[in-house]
Amino acid sequence: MPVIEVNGLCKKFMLRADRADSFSKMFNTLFRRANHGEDREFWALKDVSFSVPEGKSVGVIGVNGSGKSTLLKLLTGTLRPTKGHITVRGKRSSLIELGAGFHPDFSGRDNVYLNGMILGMSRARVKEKFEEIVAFAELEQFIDVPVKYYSSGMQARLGFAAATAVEPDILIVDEVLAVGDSSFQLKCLSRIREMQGRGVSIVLVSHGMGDIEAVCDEVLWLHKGEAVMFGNTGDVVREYRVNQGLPLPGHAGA
Amino acid sequence: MSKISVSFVEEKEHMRHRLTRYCDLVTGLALRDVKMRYQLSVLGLYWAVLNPLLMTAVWSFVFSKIFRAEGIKGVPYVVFLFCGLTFWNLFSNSLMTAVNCLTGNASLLSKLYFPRVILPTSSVMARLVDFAFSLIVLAILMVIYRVTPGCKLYWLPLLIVIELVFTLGLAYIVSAVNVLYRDLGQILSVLLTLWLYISPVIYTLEQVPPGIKDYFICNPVGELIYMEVNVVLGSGVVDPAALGVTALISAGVFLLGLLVFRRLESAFAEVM
Repeated sequence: MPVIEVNGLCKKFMLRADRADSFSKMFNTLFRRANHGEDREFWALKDVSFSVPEGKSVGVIGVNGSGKSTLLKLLTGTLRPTKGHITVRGKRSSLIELGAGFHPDFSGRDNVYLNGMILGMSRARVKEKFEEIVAFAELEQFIDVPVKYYSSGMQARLGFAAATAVEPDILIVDEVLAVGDSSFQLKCLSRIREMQGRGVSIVLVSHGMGDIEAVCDEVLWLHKGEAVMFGNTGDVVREYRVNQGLPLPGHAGA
Repeated sequence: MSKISVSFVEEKEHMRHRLTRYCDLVTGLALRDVKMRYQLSVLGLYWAVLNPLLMTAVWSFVFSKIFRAEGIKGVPYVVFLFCGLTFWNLFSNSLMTAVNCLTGNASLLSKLYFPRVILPTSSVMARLVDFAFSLIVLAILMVIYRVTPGCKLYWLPLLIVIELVFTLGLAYIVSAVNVLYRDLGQILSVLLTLWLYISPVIYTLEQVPPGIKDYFICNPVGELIYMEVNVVLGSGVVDPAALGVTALISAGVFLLGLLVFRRLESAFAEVM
């Protein structure tokens, strides 16, 4: 059974010119009936379908504004679809943004605990995993320092370590591998590999075709909210490269 | 078949484990909230102790010396007022912080999924720490003024739980509505000021004229504060009928709050 099934998924946002977002505005419009500008619809996703077989990993590619992040938010549950069906089977963990949910004034320790609990671990579970998380993030010396003094690389390391410690069946990752130095990127990739070895499915959004090729079995290419192509990683990435005018591997140095 | 369906099928988790996780998260968020107030701000303790003390000092002067107000017979007005304010602040401060708990955590809400109802819940729970400090000060005041606690003090925990249930219900409503209408906070602070005056905090129910007194049962917070203050300082007679009505209203408000919250929940991520 596929771990993720998405069928005819649509997501509409209303770009409201003048939404009454306070009682006083609402009160004003009652009397003036002024409605400057029209509400505009914006379809961030249009009829997208794909599925992820158990144990397989899927990449999502596309230029900025193609709906990648919206798709991930729908998969994690922070957004609800306008139309369509989503079925996700298994425990999810996500890393949508570098340090999402970290509070800058609190220490790395406090943030690991809270983030772990938000991602679905009990306090006791975080405690069990704590050493491992800190060791992976290589932050033993800085774990009691407020996160606001961390570099972006340090935050990324801690966020990645916490999100993967949940031991999910599905890990949803948005463009975080691009942060941090190459040794961290390698470390993340090897952790992802190790998780894949255990049968974990990865959904990865990335602009780095290298990462996509290294991690994903299949790729979904989105453009302006529509699925351009869904299939085998090699095929989709090749098409995408041609379409984007990116050099094909092997031709790069020529 | 409906147009929309979202299902997250997870391995069956034991209900007890799920509850533990959510309790852990509520406690974690509440502790963070408390830490922020006490550790990161110099005047942390101000909110819990100094503020009600100052208010009590000024008000007890105005109401007892100028207006000649009286509280419970045989109890100094200062102690009576501080006692009432302690229970009132638990309610009022909870709502004033809960109203911003979703809007203040917008980045968290748009990026991570967890049951959203946990945020207003933890925001109310965090106020329990302030409340505990306030109770300690109340105990000290009672020792200083030689006030013996009522003999029915064992009612207090139940009364506090009912007050919390009522407060949570309203907290769910105001936090959710505030996401859509951001000026609810200002309106709320005015409403709470009015609410304080129609609750028996600066006076007791016995002083209310009989014709008006009947309507006071519609105000569960007032009813609860009346019972709480009486249990702590006075004869401590709890009228079972009044308690029953108040408990029922509180439970109703709690369920209504959850319902409203669920209805508005899906709009959160989009508006923020």
